[in-house]
Amino acid sequence: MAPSANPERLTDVRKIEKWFKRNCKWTLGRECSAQEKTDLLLYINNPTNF
Amino acid sequence: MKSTLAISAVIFTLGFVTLPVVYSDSDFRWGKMEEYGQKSTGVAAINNPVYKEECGSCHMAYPPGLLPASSWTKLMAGLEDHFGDNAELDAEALQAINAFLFANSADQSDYRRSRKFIRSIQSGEAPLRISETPYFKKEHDEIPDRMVTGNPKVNSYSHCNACHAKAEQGGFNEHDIRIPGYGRWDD
Repeated sequence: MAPSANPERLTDVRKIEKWFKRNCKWTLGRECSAQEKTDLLLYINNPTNF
Repeated sequence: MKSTLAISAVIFTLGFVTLPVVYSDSDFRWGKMEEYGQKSTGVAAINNPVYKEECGSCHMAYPPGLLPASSWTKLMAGLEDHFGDNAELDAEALQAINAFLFANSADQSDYRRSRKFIRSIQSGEAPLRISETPYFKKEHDEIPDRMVTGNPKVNSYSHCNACHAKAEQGGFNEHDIRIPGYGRWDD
């Protein structure tokens, strides 16, 4: 999933939102908040900061 | 006596004419293969990029002509739990795919195999799995389990293209069947 492994990752907003919707609802039973999405995106973009 | 002979001749001739039709369960029809083209043995090929992308990345993009519109409507209304996974789409993609599925569903299709699917399904029924339709079951009832569910290279009837090489182009002719590990299938 990380852009460092595949530069095409996280380049398509619709795709990002689609998978947030699917995976958040499936995992948490609800959509994710903006804060939760931000956290995940920051982490995937650069895991070494965490 | 003369008329008996004539009647016998007619019956004899009819026998020869009808014999191959009754005897053969084959998809092949003498002559006119070009003219029939895909319409004789297939369902419509998929020509919609949104459908291919959204409905063909996790599993094979199933040709819409394999199920009636009522099935597609029901399936698309339940994408939140799509056979155990959430497969929800954004509104734009959903609308485009619904329109495509409906326009190309088996009841809207002139393709021979689509008509067979429709005829096998009782009116009011809306099966969600192609493999649950009576026509599908009839066509696969002679295949031993070891060739499909017990075959690690196939695993499930949901992997049409494991054996039907032209499945995604709408081709299900028996002459195009190659069962992995077993080869051609002829019934």
